[in-house]
Amino acid sequence: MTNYKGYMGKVLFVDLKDKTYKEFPWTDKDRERTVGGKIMAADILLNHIKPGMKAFDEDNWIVITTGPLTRCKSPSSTRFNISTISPLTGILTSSNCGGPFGRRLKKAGWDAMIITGKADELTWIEIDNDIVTFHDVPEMRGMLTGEAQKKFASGNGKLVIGPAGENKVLYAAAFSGERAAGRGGVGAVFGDKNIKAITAKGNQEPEIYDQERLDFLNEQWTNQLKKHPITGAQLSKLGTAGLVAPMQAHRILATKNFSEGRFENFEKVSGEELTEKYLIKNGGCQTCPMRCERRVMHEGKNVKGPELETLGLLGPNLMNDDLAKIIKWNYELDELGMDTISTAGSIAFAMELQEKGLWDSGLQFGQTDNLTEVFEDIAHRKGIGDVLADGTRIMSEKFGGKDFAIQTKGMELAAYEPRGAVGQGLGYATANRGGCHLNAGYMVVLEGLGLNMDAYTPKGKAGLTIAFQNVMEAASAAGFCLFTSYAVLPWFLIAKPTSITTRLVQNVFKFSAPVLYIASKFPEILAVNIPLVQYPRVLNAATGMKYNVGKFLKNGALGYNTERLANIILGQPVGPKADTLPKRLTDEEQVSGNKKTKVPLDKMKKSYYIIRGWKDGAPTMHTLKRLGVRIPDCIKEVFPYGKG
Amino acid sequence: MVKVKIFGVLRTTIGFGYLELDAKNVLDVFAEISKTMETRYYEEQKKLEEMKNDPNVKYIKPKNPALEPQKEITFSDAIVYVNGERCLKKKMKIFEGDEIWLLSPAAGG
Repeated sequence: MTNYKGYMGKVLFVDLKDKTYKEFPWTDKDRERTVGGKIMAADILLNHIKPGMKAFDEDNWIVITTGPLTRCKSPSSTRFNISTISPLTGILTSSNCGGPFGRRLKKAGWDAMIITGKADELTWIEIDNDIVTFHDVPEMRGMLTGEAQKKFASGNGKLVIGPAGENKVLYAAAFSGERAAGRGGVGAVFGDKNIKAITAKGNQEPEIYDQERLDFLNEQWTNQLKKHPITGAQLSKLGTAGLVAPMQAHRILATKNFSEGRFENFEKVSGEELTEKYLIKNGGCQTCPMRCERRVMHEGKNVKGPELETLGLLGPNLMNDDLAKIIKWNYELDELGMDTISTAGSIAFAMELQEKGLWDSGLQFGQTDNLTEVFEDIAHRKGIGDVLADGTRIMSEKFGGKDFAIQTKGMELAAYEPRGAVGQGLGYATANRGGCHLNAGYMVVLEGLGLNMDAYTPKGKAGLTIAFQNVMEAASAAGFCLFTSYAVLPWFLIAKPTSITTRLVQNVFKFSAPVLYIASKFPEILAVNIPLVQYPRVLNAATGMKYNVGKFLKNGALGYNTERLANIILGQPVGPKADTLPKRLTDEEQVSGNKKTKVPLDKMKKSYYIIRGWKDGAPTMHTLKRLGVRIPDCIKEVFPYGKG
Repeated sequence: MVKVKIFGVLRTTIGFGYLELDAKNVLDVFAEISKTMETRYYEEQKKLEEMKNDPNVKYIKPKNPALEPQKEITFSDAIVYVNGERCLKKKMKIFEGDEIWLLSPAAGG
């Protein structure tokens, strides 16, 4: 139970081995400390994992969390999170999803659920308010994600895997509606535990601390999001697909396995082409004013269209300019239950291996007619598909080519080529879950896409990367979509990119490191609430907590450090091998003869660690204690905290 | 003649994505687009009105929800590239055969 509003006050703990369930202890102190979402999940996992634990161990937990804002009708606040040890990276992954499952889980009376053990038979976990029932569903084996969800009555929140998850493809996803918890292979962990589906339904609602204030703030924030050039115009008119052309201009459109930052035929796979030729209507998550989802027709069906990452990585990165194919593949990959980013990244790497004569898979850049069959083979682990299903890092260990295996910490990079935006490169390297553009802090929004900060200078990038990583971490914990964080950048800076004010701010950013250092060490100095940063205000009105900007950012830092500590326990290296990028991005110039066009990672990393309070990629004990990280005993067994 | 390609929210507002025109600098490009945009806007309105009043027209295809051409634009949010390089000076000279890209600020994931 909880004295805070906004929450349901209960966490479900399910053991698949003996098919039992109970309530997991979670106190108001824990809620104050972590808020919810991915930070809550990281805290739970940090205090459960042990050195040497692996993704497919029976006692690896899957932690599914909502945020306190879920079901509170705040804009863009219905996301849920799945965290576990990733089979792709071997460290923690957290995968965020906009599907309806989180809302329904909360309606059933649960803020979160933890799953342990393995079932003997393919299983459907049915949650109906306080009752949990386990069903054997061998007849669902092999079912696609769409077909599987149709098996359950509407009114249920559904979370399922496809064949890829059942066959433990290391980047298999879990799906709720057409939305994926895509990254890091959470679907494979479901498959390993023999979970085909989880459904949730109920008739409970969270109480609100101050409904009148919350209604006022929700309206104010919705207006702020609608007025903003990114959240109110670009994302609703063109979706994330609208980024293809700006990325081309800024030389950050990953092309031919990240060997280039521009693609000659980019217009054929652009958001403009998608909108003008294929868009039927916009879609989006419940309570979200952005409506960034693209609804398109595929073989007579109204389906979710490809997002930017899918367009970029199945398009330019494979030297493919056929948008119709990408729409088809996007649908097929969703149905098979695979992350489009890692699938495409693994295929691009295989194409380069082929080109360099290192692995004869038959896959070649620009020749993509057989990819539907390749996807099927990956999902069922057949032929070359069995190799591709392990992802880029394992493939590079087998065949060589580590310098151009485009992954960090084992996770394939998103579609932004960081040699054209070096701060994004720092973000990719330091991101806790690996090559994720959002967990990286999304510096490209400052480095050309939104503002026009010098994309090639390392100056100021470390502090800004940390600030954005922390904001996104904390926003996600409360249940908000990360896209809302773009509205934290004042609209007039974005709307007038060449104005004196905007240019001044961009230049000030370059010298912001000392200020950001002080703010990260003493967040108490930001003990204010301002309309521009709505998160703490909304959180307070819904829950009765006492958050402010400083405390909110500190919560983000707590999340980032909690995940990092968990990763070190799980074996993430510290020292020179911590937080690296493939050599292609740090040692090879993107534009031949222009030394600026590679990522000066070591230089930025040094500042990054100082501002974070880390040494060699590991948080110091002082930092952990200052942030209030719940430190498990097992760190005594782990370098650099214990074993020397 | 210079080639002008328009992307992003600018394109949905302007209503077209490609134009060839005579221009000495970027400001000329803006002026020419504004002129073309206004002409096309009124032509479109006129055509729509005629269709509405035509008893033989049974169905008017709904417009793409993302495309809402306006009759005027300020270009205050335009990000300009000339031959693939960012251009911050709107009075910078441009030449025959140059390719101009006009983009809007963007973000996503």
